[in-house]
Amino acid sequence: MSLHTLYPDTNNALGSYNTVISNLIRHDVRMEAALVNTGLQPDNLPIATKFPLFAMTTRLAADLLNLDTADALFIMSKLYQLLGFLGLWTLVLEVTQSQQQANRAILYMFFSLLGSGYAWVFPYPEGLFLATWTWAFIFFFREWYPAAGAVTVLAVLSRPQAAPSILPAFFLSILVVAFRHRSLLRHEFDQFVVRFGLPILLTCGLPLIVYTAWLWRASTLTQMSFAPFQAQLYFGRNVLTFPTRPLWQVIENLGNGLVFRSFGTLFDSYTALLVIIGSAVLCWLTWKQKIPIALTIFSILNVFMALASGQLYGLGRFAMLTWISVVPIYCIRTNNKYLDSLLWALGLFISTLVIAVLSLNVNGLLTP
Amino acid sequence: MKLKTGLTIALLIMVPILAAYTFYMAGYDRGVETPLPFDYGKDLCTGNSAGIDRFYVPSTLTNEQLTSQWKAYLASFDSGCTVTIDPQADRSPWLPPVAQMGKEPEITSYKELYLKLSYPQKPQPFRSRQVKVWIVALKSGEKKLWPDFSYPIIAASQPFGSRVDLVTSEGAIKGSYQVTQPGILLRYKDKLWLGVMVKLMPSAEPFTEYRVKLFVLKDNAYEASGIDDPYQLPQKYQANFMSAHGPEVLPDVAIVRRVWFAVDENTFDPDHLFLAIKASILNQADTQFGYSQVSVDTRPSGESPYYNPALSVVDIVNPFKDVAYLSDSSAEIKNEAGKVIGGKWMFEAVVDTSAMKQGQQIQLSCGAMQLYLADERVLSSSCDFDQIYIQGERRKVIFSFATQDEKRSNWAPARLEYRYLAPDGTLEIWPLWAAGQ
Repeated sequence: MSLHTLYPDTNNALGSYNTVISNLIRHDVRMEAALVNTGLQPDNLPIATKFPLFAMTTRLAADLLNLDTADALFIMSKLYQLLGFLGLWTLVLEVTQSQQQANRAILYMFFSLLGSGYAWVFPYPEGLFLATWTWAFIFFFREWYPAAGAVTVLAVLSRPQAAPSILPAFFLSILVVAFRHRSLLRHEFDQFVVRFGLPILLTCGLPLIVYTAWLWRASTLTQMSFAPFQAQLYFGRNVLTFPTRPLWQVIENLGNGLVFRSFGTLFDSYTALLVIIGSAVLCWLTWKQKIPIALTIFSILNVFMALASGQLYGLGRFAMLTWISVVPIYCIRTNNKYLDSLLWALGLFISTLVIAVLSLNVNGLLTP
Repeated sequence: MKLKTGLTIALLIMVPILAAYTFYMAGYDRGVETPLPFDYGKDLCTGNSAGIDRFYVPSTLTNEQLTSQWKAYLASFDSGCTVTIDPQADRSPWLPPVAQMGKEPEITSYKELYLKLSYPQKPQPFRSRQVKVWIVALKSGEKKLWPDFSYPIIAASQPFGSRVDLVTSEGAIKGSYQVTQPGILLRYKDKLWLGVMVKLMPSAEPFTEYRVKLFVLKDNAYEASGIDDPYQLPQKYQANFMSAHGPEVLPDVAIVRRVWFAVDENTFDPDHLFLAIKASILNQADTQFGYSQVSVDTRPSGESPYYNPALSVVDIVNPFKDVAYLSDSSAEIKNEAGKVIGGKWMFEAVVDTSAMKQGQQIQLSCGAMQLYLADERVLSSSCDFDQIYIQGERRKVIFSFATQDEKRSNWAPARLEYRYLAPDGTLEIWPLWAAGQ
């Protein structure tokens, strides 16, 4: 029997506290810690949603350095954050050829306008995902395909949305280049293999094999098919659905004039609106050839994956780890430091507000 | 070029090793308990109802799924006891609420689940205990877990009168309390009220807040509602009132006051009462609940009006003294033809208001003085007596009753009583006289 049959309308994860902040601190981190300590077990299915690389490297660090699990989680998350921000800085430099833009991008990521900057405070695996996809794209753009493939392998083991967003981005990006060089497709087979076949194999094929292997491994360990996706049902998310419901929710919220029904509604609508605008701007910038198409595809697919869970909540955390977060560096002039500072302050304020409001758990603020 | 090659080689060596390690270790339990705060097991084992009460249950979750998930969560938590689920105790249907649950107005339906708490350190027969957990669906749409805490509470309780330390989860003593007197039980406005005298003493720092709970733990666990409003009580019991959920308590100044609970008559048992208090201290973790047994004054001559009929719950004490039936003044009533058409009875009493408080007065009502005849017919007295008395008076009063009924065999007066209606609406019945006494 599939979990979807068992949980057709699950609203809350079992054992979740009635504040999101409690879940952020206790539930999410405890789930990560449980994965570090026990691995995947058939009697603890909710943690199957977690991809293993963050937890397993944390375990490695804890075992090697004789660290407490909680300490190891914190240390590793900060280490990955450093690598992630270094990766983002390098990638923005690679794309924009501007150190100033790279510096600004770091702050737009850290004080994300999406209100999810709190993720950098807690020992979450966000840093690992940021590190892996940025470095994968850097190597990809530099055409260091074996290195890009190797890092992509790590990326697909870090977060569930990694493979469905990075692999199509690489694949389509290579195809676009292929179409621009049609002569290669027609005449020079060995050139084709070297320029396109091998990169696709290394950057898409190999990670896809590893990703599939992980799905198989996780399903075997938990005795539940497609465990990382089916276990999403424990958290009120769908396995995979076309994102009509959350999008309709956004339209409905906007139609209601963003009346303050609850903090949750307001925040979800704000996030969704920002993501929609950010995505549109991203597409326009790609059309203007200011942003590589691979980054846009990656970002849009990340948002799609978040919405495909059938829920709006969490969209900010998904979208933050994409190029959408750094869109403001293209829209605001580099010399407009006041606006930059204002937006960073706004990002910090919104993140803090999310934490504060949800910590207070004032009745009616979180849900309508 | 060197960098590119070196990096690529390093990655191609490291990534397969890391991936292989990840794949292998993901199925390997390293035998370390997850050290982060996660209070299910702890709350269940220590009886922290405040913690448990917060937990939500998915609306479509069956007992079977719940047991499987709880087992997984609880198994990894070091809470002093282990929790397992009785595999037979599931598949129970959703039921309508029952009065014994104590909070039934909030509940639309509930079902039961059994958990087994095991205390490996304790001797038999205290090593394990099966407790019931109610999954309750509330009218607000939420579903919550309400556990039966009887065993943990009993195990943790101090005997009546002992000092109970209020300790944080880190073991720091932040204060103490003591149940200083047996509880007082009384009935008032169709409810049963229990008052427990508590001495609450913070240590060095003030309590910013405290909570007092009362549990009745017999066949099951029931939590009595503590009150915050003294005006729910009779006036004479409003003095020295302590709220069940109180504000700041300063250190070095012990509070000695009575905290009151509305108890359910169906579940109340004076021999199985347990008080629980926890306190909050500024910028520090709350203390855990400290438990104490509570005894109740059940003596017929004791302080509890419920057990001592001589005690009144209202302020005005019975002012009637030396009530006597004036049989020689009682007589048949005859009509002009000499036929007996009724009877007349007279009683003498002393109205003594010396026990009243200074400034108090009582207004007697002729309709409230009632005479029961042998056939249980009730007669009200005539109104020909002084009705208003101030404090400190002592006067003889004659009460007369008359009826028009020729059935003389039923005329014998059986008992006399005064039905006093207090200003707050409480009806007090003062028995004044009974035949044969």
